[in-house]
Amino acid sequence: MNEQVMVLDDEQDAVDMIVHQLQTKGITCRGETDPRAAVESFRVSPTDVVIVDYLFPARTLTDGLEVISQLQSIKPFTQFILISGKIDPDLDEESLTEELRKIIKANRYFRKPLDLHELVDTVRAALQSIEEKSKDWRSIAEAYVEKGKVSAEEVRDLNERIKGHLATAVDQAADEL
Amino acid sequence: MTPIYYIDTCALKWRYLNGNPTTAVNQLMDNPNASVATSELTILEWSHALATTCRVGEIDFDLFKHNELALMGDVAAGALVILPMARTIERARYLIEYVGIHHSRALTTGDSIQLTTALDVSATAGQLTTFVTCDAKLSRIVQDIRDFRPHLDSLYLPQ
Repeated sequence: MNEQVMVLDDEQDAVDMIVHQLQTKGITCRGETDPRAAVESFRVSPTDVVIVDYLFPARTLTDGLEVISQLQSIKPFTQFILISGKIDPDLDEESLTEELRKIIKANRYFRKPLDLHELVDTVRAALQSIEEKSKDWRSIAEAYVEKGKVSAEEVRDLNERIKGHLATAVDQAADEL
Repeated sequence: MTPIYYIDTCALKWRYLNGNPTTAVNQLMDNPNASVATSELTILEWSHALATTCRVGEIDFDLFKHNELALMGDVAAGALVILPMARTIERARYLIEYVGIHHSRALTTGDSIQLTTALDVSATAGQLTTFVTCDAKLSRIVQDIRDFRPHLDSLYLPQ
């Protein structure tokens, strides 16, 4: 738990290779081959960076983009690196990275076979970026509200029925410390 | 000089709930000429309270997320500044000793973190910080301990 990076690819060999490479460089990481298990493990212990394969066998989630969408809803302040050998071969990596960034805010796209040294450098840069931004809660909060906002006034109305319970729960939470 | 307020969890909750302190809390947080800050601990205590309320079935997961988003919305808009706890624990330990032993007043672990963070705010800004709380006991500690005076003032909001 509490690793910096999660690697998700349906091929165990690919996962093992990336995990090994990152770990030898001092980056803590864990590997997953099943998207659904990955989402659950991320719920328990979200990582700062996720390396995710674009395509999975049609058994669980549709593809890497769907996985990213689910992971983003759990922890918006996450950096994603998408890998695949099967995305539009006519697009160069820079154009593809730009396209993907627009859609899912993936940091980088890597075409297989992977250049592991470049991947490690990209992971390090992503971790550094997260480290810098996480010192500023406003950046974190901006990531949270990017997909939708709820005002304090709206939530006061929504909380009206349970305000007694919630007020007591807050006081109890404080007392527990 | 921009007035600085430090708000603890028991006061901040009235930003997201309707009650006696709600108007006062809104006036502080919606005032562009004031600065309102709190500790990272407040985020944890708020999540803890929401999770408890969700667990007993009083709110569903959607409302849990709505509440989280409302707080994050305030942070993103700059209405609330969240302060990191980096070295707070170390200093809070001294505060527990000082308040608990030298002044014979009970200071909970959470309150020691809140007070330490408020003192940090005052030290960093170099000005008086008003500690906003709905906890009468904590408010009295701020008021009664003379050493806090040049740094902290207390604003007590009865619930």
